[in-house]
Amino acid sequence: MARDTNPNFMAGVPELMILRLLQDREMYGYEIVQAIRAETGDVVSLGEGIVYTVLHALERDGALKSRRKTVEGRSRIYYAVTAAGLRRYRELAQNWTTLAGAIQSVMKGSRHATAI
Amino acid sequence: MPQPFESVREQLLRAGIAPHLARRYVVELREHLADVTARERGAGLDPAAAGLRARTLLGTDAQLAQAMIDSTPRSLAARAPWAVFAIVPVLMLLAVVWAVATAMMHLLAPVHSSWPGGVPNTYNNLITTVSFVASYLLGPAIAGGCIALAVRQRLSSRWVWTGLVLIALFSAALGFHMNILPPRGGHPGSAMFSVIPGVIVAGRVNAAATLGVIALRAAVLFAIAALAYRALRSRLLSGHT
Repeated sequence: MARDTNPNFMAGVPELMILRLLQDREMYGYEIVQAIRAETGDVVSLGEGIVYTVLHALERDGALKSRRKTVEGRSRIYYAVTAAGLRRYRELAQNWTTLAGAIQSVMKGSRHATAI
Repeated sequence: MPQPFESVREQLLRAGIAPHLARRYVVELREHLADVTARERGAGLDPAAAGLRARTLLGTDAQLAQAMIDSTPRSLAARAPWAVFAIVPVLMLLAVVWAVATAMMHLLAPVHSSWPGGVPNTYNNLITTVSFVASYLLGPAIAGGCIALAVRQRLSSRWVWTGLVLIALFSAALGFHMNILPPRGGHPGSAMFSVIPGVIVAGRVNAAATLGVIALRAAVLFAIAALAYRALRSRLLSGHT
């Protein structure tokens, strides 16, 4: 039987970050993109326009809910995480932690490296 | 001048994305564009340069549309046009006819025998109105709904045309007729109800004449619906080419 592979290391990362950020407070798309930049020191930059496809997909899956809200005269669609979104976040975070740990392990050569 | 991202909306609709999802995506993109433009102006760019820079940062219309198309399921009308345009309208038509017929019979059955002087005018007017609406306006209304849906979703499926033919045929074959006989000479009154408009020739229903009337009504309704659909589609397409 073929083993599952990791076709794309970045797969699931936008969802992970969005679900994490929205646990603190509800945000609209532009705010989310800015927050990801700020939190990652510009290392991760989500496409300005692409963020909405991720948000819509998460909302369709029940991980996010949205509402239109007017703040300082501007009406925008704000997103908030749901209970299903929290569960999904925990799964994604667990997967990511496991993957990062495995990569770290290889980089350190802690398991299979032979002393020269 | 067209609004920004109008071509994104058009591409999404033509790809079968539900109109409300396409509209919302475009609204969010416009709001995002305004925010990025404001940020760039705050960074010292003049309004024109800020607008251009913001537009570049968001990506091209083709990229934005493709991202949404790749990640969004198609609308039901795009996935199953045979159901939405051919099955549902006919079922809806039959359901409304059944509901109207049942309601009228229930309304009249308990009381028709107690009207020795004939049916009150209020009831007659109600019956006439309902009969007219169900016979002549229901089909066009359902056909109009189908056309609006097809145009709104930029659908040009053979199922739209099939649906219009079926609606024309079914609605032409339906014609409410109610005949209420008041009680007379010891006989209780009765209410007769038909939903197929039989043409009476020499005191009998003439099948050929009835079919001829149905065919004529269907042809007229289909012709009107087809002209409206074609005109609306042409107008829409010429506005987005």
